Amino acid sequence: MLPQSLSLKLALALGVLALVLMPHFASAYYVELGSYALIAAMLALSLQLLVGATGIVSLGHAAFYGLAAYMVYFLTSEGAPRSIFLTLPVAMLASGVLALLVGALSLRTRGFFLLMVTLAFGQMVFFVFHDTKIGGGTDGAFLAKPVISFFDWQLPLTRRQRPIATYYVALFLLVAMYLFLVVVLRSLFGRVLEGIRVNEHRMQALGFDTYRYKLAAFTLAGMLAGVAGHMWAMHRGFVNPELVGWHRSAEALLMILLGGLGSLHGPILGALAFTGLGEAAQLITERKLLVEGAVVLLVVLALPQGLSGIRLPRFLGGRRDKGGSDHG
Amino acid sequence: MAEVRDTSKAVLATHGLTRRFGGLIAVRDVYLALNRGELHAVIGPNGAGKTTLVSLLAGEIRPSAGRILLDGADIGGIPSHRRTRLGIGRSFQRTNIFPTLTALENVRLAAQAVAPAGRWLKPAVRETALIEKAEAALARVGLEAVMRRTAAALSHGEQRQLEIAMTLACAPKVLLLDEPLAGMGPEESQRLTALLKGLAREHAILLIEHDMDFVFAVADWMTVMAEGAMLAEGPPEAIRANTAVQDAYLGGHA
Repeated sequence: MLPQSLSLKLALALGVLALVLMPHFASAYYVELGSYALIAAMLALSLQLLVGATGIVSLGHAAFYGLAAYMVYFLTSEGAPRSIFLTLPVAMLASGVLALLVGALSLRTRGFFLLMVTLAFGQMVFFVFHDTKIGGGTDGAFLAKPVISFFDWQLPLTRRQRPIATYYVALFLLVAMYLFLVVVLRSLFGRVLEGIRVNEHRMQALGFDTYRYKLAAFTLAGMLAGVAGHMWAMHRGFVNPELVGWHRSAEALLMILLGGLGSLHGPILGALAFTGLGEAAQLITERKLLVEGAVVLLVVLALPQGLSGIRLPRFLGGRRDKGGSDHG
Repeated sequence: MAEVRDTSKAVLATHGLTRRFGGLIAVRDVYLALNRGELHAVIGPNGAGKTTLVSLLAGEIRPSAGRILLDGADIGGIPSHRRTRLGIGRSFQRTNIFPTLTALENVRLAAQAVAPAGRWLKPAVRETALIEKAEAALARVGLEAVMRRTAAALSHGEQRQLEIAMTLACAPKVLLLDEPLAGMGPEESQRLTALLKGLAREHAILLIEHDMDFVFAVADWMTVMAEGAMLAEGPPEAIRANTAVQDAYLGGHA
């Protein structure tokens, strides 16, 4: 899961540097698109804690993402923007509590049944926002974007600078989330998750109460999805039920598949590629989804480890991929 | 039964242990006593209920009747994951390991399972106490040379040894070994014989095995099961001489 080789760590650092420099060269439109991609990357990364690290495939992950966005709306619907230092913790807490509840019930099942139960829970949350007026119903609602402020002091930003600030906040949170997950997966807790992924029955026989560990991972993943959802609200200033729907969950799964199930940076790569692909497809055709689907299919068939499975040729310092090992 | 032994200090004992699956009685009224320092072999034809007995002792299934006592305390209602902590270690008939992880990580996870809950965000590589425990268990079974390899890359015999190392890493009082010899070559079985004799000095061992030469070579006490019930028990010589056992199971072997 974690980057081992020096060349890969270097590549990741260069990638972050490129993302840091991007707003200085790109137009406002592409900064917005970049923010969108970074938020998608956070959602996919949070889901990877379940899918790639623990071996739990959930189709309800967008519920935690969407709820966080709606929490921002609930906090700021009266028009006054609030500090991100208030909205972010509240959004994460709400997502975490929902994930704890959904996980507590759905993790009693496994495999296909777990997929269906999480889907059902996700759709329940979707219909709460879709069929009631609490979040503006089907039409969604506008909100006052959270701002970066301490008490009465507010970061002075012009209208034009705000999207750039949002971009950097999203980038910072993505990097922080990645580093946090590195710590988690290296820890004793992370090793238990790995054991559960490889052979859950054996973990139980060894004496691990695997349900509790899975529930902890599920709750944590939900909270991290909440970070992504919060950033969506801060980025767009608009919420609608689509944020909660299963389509969004499936998209995050596709991003993981595209980027690679076996690595922590895979979902980030996948989300950036998927967003770029969608943009490119829109430029050349009106059948955007068809192009997206075909490309994802090709990548998955040609690269079983996704985009992160691409290795540099040896003379460029790349490593031969050794089969069997799961520590790559 | 002519033979008598002191079972008052038994580490693990069962009283009238019974398990029904619908109309089938897989284990019927079994009285066992496992002493520390003893290797207790359970033999019997296929379907005699041996593996069910191990599953009952390990807590993977619940008894229909009867009691299981660990150091005198009834553990019949305690789930399997908590029994490991209490000191009951089990190895599986079919190799059950983490194939994509290294041999060391396989055993380290086993040691972590019974370690007191510590700081869960502490990096696993810095938890040296667990790693040392795992290395000691691997050395005990003779796998120290291959511990950095992934478990899938080990030979079948080495995987069986790994199973035992994982069980040992949980620091058990009682070892339940379900056919540890399955699929092993003669040379590997010899090494395992020596290992089990050594382990029997510090543990109470319950061994299920089909290889009679091996069983008679290592066992201190034997129980013969047939159709879920106890047919006979006693030291190996008495079992070898027992005509009922010969008729029921050993055939011309003894």
